Amino acid sequence: MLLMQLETTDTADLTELRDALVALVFDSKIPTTAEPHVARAARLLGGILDNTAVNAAADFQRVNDAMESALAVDGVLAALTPEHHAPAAAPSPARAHDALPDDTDLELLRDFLSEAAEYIESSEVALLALEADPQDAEAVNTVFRAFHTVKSTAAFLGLTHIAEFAHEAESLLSRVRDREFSYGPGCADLSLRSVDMLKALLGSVEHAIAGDGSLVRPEGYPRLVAVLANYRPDQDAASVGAVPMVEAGPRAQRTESVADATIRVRTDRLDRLINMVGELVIAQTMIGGDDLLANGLQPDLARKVTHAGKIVRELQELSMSMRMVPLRSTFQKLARVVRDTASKVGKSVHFATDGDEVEIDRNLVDILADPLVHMVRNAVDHGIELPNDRSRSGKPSTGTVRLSAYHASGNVVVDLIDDGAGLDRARIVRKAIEKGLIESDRGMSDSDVFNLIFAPGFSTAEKVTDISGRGVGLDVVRRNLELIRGRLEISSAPGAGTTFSLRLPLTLAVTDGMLVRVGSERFVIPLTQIHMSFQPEPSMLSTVVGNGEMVRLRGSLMPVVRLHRMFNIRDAIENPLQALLVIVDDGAQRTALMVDELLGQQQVVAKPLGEALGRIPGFSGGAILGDGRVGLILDVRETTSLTAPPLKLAS
Amino acid sequence: MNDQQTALVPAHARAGKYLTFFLAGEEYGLEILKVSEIIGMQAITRVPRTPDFVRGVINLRGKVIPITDLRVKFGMTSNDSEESCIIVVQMREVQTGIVVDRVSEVVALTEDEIANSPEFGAGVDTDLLLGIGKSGDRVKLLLDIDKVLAAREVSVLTDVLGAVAA
Repeated sequence: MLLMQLETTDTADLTELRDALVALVFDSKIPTTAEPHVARAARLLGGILDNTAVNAAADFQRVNDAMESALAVDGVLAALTPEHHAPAAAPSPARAHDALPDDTDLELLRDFLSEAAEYIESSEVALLALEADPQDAEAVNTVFRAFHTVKSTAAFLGLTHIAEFAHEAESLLSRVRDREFSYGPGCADLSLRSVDMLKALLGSVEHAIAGDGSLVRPEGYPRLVAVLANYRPDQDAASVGAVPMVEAGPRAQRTESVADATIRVRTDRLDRLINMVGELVIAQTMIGGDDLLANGLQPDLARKVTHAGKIVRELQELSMSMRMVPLRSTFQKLARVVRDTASKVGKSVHFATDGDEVEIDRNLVDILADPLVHMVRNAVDHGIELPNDRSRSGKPSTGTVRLSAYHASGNVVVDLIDDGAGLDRARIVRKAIEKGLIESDRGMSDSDVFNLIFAPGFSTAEKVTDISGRGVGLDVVRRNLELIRGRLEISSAPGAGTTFSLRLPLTLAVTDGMLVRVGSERFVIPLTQIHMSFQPEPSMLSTVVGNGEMVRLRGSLMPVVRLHRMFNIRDAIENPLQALLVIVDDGAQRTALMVDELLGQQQVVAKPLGEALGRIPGFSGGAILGDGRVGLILDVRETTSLTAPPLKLAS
Repeated sequence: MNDQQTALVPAHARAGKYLTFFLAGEEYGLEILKVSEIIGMQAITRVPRTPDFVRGVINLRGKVIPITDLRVKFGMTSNDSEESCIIVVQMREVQTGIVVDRVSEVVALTEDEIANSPEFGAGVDTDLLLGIGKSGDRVKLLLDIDKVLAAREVSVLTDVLGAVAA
């Protein structure tokens, strides 16, 4: 039964099967009663392979019979199914009858299917173009890329046989690309058959998802792999033609049905939809706030407006949810990073995740991925100690890196927790002084000190590895996070490990802002960057030569930025004692922005200021305010850097 | 005539419909195909650190678009009146509003009615003009609006009219 799809000439597959059978017997993975049958099958196979068999075809039949007898023994089937047998035996008899990997994420798999279907479709078109014009380099590349992408994704998902097949197909195309031979009719035929085979393979995955998870290999698979691997351009089309056609029919259709269940929408369209809905919400708020309704004389109209308002808000929630994706796939990719990094540096690290069902804006995921990879690497490379060191300090020799996501006050928080050595305050201070980042750590809290590791050019790693510790990276992490208005907090206890908390907005579509007034103009300051606001006392203010106006708050000195002066607003409060100071934190330093008044908190939809205007330094964009006018959103980092020269952290 | 032709062969495809408007008593023309709409004056949010002729930004049905004051752009002082309005110009994907004193009419001009803009001495940016339209008893300065809005500095056009009239 297992051998039905193998031919006596499939040496590679037969060798593999023989080895797997031998391994089964030696490792006692199967009930003892079945062992003789398996051993016999292995011996016969050996004979066929060594060409010592008198009658290969007859022996082949006997191998088949032996395997049938083996399978008849209770428990053998269980031993052969992937859930039960050890990884060592995984590439075993099951090769002709694979299964989906245990830990497969069905969602990822479905994404893969619809993506692969698209690639295959495009490669089919390109192949036909190539047949018309064998010199079409772009077409070759298209097909090559398609096969390559399918290969790498399939390999990532543990769909080994698809990856293997795509690899062979890719190799064929790469030989065409490298002009080893030209794209003749035989090659064309073979390429198209490969595409059909890929379709059939995807169909089998589709089938496996719907069914019991077992992957049935399409007929002719080993044969086609062999032909692909041994393709010679002088081979005539007829011999290629002997390869059986793949029936891609019904299975391929099922693949399409999955793709139909979801449609891919261009993100810019989605963004526009979400923006328009945001406008609708504001317009609705304006109607609701109209005097006509406010005086209570129009109860009927008011009821209708309220009803419309409910619908609008529901629409907003729905449109937002269209762009939300769970963090799961982001987290899963990190498992690989942990494993690879740990094995490279000789550490034993367990990776755990919580809350991977927490959803986040799709646009954020892309920006978040790189910083997370970097931080996870960093945690394994620098955070977790070597197994011996861990044992010596009484910890389990396997370290743990945990990612934990949850909602907190309208944000998504991702905690990266390691149980490593913790941050060494003294070492960071020493290094920072050495690098000239600070002069002394007097008056600096632990968290101030820890934040130094995100300063550009800072690295505490004693030795530079190829994984992390190149002195670049963590500052990039911080910058990327700022791009998405995220915040990073560090807490650490010596010997007990470090926790990095990433605080992210749920979505980029809506910003929590503080509306402030300066003279007759209004600006929005992102709430995540506001530390606090207060009215200064005369004793707090001073002027430092070379640094301009400063304010001292709880021992730390920070520059005062007069927004009215910076933005040339004439009717604003000039006396700082009558104005308000808003302390903003751009990640590197704190600055006091001088404003007239806080007008209140507001959710705003950030928009570019129009392409014709380009980028205006100091502003990240505009937002439609409640009264329909545009308010400018301050870019805190740019605003502060537009003023004074950078100030050293310690005074 | 369509947009493409304008871009490819401006010299021979100037004939067509123009939206005319007034700035400080003089009449200007703007290819109608570039105009997406005309809206009334509204509250404009000033954007600091931009050239003076940029009045600021407005909310056009949820889109933020910049507003250029053509008076300032052409070296005159800004002066809004009851009749002032904003012409929203569409340049490829980008929308920009321009503030003008008063919108006048839409005229169809034939190639015969359009004269090349005269060559002048320094100080007058005649390359911002497609030509000069003469229909009826008035002279209209036909603006190459893409060039006008792309220019980063204030341009002087006022002397052109005096020279044409002379």
